[in-house]
Amino acid sequence: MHRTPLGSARIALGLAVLACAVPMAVPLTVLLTAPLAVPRAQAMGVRSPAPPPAQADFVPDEVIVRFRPQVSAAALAALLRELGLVIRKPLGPERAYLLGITDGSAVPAMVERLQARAEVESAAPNRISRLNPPLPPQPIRKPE
Amino acid sequence: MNPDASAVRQGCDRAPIPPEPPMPERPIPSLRRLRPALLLVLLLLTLPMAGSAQDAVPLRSVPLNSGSLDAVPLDSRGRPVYAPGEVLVQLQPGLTPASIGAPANALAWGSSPLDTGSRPLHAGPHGALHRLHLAPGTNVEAALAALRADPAVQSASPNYYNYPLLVPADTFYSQQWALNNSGQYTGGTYPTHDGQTPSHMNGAIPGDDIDAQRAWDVPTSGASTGSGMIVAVIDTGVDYTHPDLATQMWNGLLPNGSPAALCPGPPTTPPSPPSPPSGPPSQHGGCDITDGTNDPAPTVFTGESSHGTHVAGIIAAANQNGANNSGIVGIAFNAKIMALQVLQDDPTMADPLHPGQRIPDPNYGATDADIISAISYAAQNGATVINMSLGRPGTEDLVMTTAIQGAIMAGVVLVAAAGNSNADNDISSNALWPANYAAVPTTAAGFISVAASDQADQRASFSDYGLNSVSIAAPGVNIGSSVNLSNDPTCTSPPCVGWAYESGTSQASPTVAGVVALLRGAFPALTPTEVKQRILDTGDALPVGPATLPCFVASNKRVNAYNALALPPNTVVPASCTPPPPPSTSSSSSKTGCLVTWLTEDWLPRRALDPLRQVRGFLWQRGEWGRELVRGYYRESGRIIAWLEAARAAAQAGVRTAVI
Repeated sequence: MHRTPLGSARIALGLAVLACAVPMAVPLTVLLTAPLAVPRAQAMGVRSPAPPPAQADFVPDEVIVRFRPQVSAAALAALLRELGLVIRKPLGPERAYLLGITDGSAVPAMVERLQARAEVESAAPNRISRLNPPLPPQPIRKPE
Repeated sequence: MNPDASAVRQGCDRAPIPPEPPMPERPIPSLRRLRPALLLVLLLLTLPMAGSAQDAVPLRSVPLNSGSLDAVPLDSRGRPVYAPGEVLVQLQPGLTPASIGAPANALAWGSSPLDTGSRPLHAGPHGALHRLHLAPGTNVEAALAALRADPAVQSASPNYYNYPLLVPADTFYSQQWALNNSGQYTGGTYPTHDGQTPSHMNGAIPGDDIDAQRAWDVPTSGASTGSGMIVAVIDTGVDYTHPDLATQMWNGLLPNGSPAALCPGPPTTPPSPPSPPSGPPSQHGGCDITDGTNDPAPTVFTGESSHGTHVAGIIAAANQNGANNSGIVGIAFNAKIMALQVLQDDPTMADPLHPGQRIPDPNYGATDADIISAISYAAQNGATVINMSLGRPGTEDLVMTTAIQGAIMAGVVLVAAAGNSNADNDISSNALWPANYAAVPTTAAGFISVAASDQADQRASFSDYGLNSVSIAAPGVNIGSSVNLSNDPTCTSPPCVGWAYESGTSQASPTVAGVVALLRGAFPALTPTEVKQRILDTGDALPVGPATLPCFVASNKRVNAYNALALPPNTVVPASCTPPPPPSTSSSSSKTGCLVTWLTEDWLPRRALDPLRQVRGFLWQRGEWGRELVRGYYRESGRIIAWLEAARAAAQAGVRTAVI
């Protein structure tokens, strides 16, 4: 099952009828002019002549790596030099780092190379989590 | 064992539910251990209570003046929970207070014309109820312990004070159906479960809520409004100037009062030197993990970047703040928000086709690395709950697994949104992380994933689900909370800071996080594992019927804050107690209640080789303990006699027996 692209909800947000002042007293009928069964972008009248920019699943030049406990600092530095990696920042757990790829290698290929190394406990892309609201915010009505 | 998996068996496979104690102070045998014995037990429903008095062990000597009147516990607002110096006692039938064997110099009844031995507060064939005044300096708890051990006494309890219930005066409180569902029309735009538009909210079922209003008034040993709890919101950042949140932000101190760690600095690339930590989190209640500053608010506020502000409000928006009691009230309104921003400051980008205009940035998101850093920072700096209303597909990240394990070991409960794709997260290709850590054996114990339900306890049409990977449901449709939309295209009259409805598991997750904060504030000694189990055990059973999936979360429950705080420890609200409706009737009116029974061990003569055990059955209906339907005793070597008759009678009255 495919997940709803984040972009669709975001486009809808742009044109959603939304009163921001408090109290917000937008008539309900205005809010219901776009049946949910209709594709949201179409219902909202969004013009979109060009395809939206691609949505990346992970950061293109970063990997998350945790090294094995016995790896020395010298061995770590040598490994990074060999693979063209730099430390961007240490992460919370011990021996875990966000590494930057400096030689232009693709992330999946770099992850494979790292996973094949004895010094590496785990290696993975730096994946990107999204928000995925089914609808944009809607005005809250003052109690009648 | 994965608590979720256990709950699946309880809720959906209709397996027997473990026995639970009516009284926390009495040890309870395992139902599984007793089940063979139950097939043989002799149940004597009409055994006179007076008989137990004859066989009871002698009254133990309890020092009654071991405490002082100052020991009366206070509720979350500093009021005494019960009256000092007096107790309520129900005697065995036919007895008077003179039958009580406690030392005469410790108890003194009859000092009031209303509660003399001849004038009980209530008299009846089942025993008289008396108010006893204790001798000066007598500790109530010590007196209760002595009285409960006395064979002349059926029950003894404090004389609890009753206070006006907390009903927030916040402007939009009446619209917060998740906290107190009266069947109100909330004005949102999401269709109800029956496919009707919100103008036809007949599908709403009053009471299908988390019962927050009653939870705030539960007298507990700790605070039942989240006092002292720090809830980390790993999200888009929080508008810490919002009128409902400005007073609710974390002050940057650890629970012991010392300053928390500085916010981590930004990442660097050699040969640049590693960046030093940035400023203290106390300035704005958290950290921006993405750029390494201590300003955890987006610079551009749109509907999307306001996400974290909405989430924070659900958890801990101020109660009755401002001159006009503006806005909403958060579930744990005395907790503090630790804002940890993991999405960029600006959710938009320049429109390549239309210079000068901006469009949503498709790469607006949170990286695993920043979420890992945020989890670790929260765990090391005093957070007791972490909420994560975001997610990604793919596979588990082992470094994040380690970070989550570390957080749980540090005493943190993690809560995450199950996702909004109407997908089964149990299918590996649909797995959503971090929510699916609720099903990873090494992290499941303290990690809760949350689906969204609507105002009739139906699964929201968008909500992800999973009998293994999604722990529990919570309200997630038309949830009103705080927003800042000052940079949103829809903002025509800035500053556009106010309140709005949003729908999603992003709203359901902080609802559970708020309840966790209440529970941890009330019972600080609970471990993350115990907190999760209690949240799952005490939720309200979701309706089962043709209108929805029979079970869509592991526990088959919707979270209930009152139950979580008020029910005796280890109580399990059966998940399968709501019977499927007859095919010809509506599903919304089929809740007839559930007979919940339990066993108590060694309740009667301890000297007997074959001790009597007690079985009690109460009606559990719509979150309330009702009348006692069954009370009886059995011997393990005996035969079932009356129990089956009682269960049959209950069934004829429309009550299902959940535990036998």
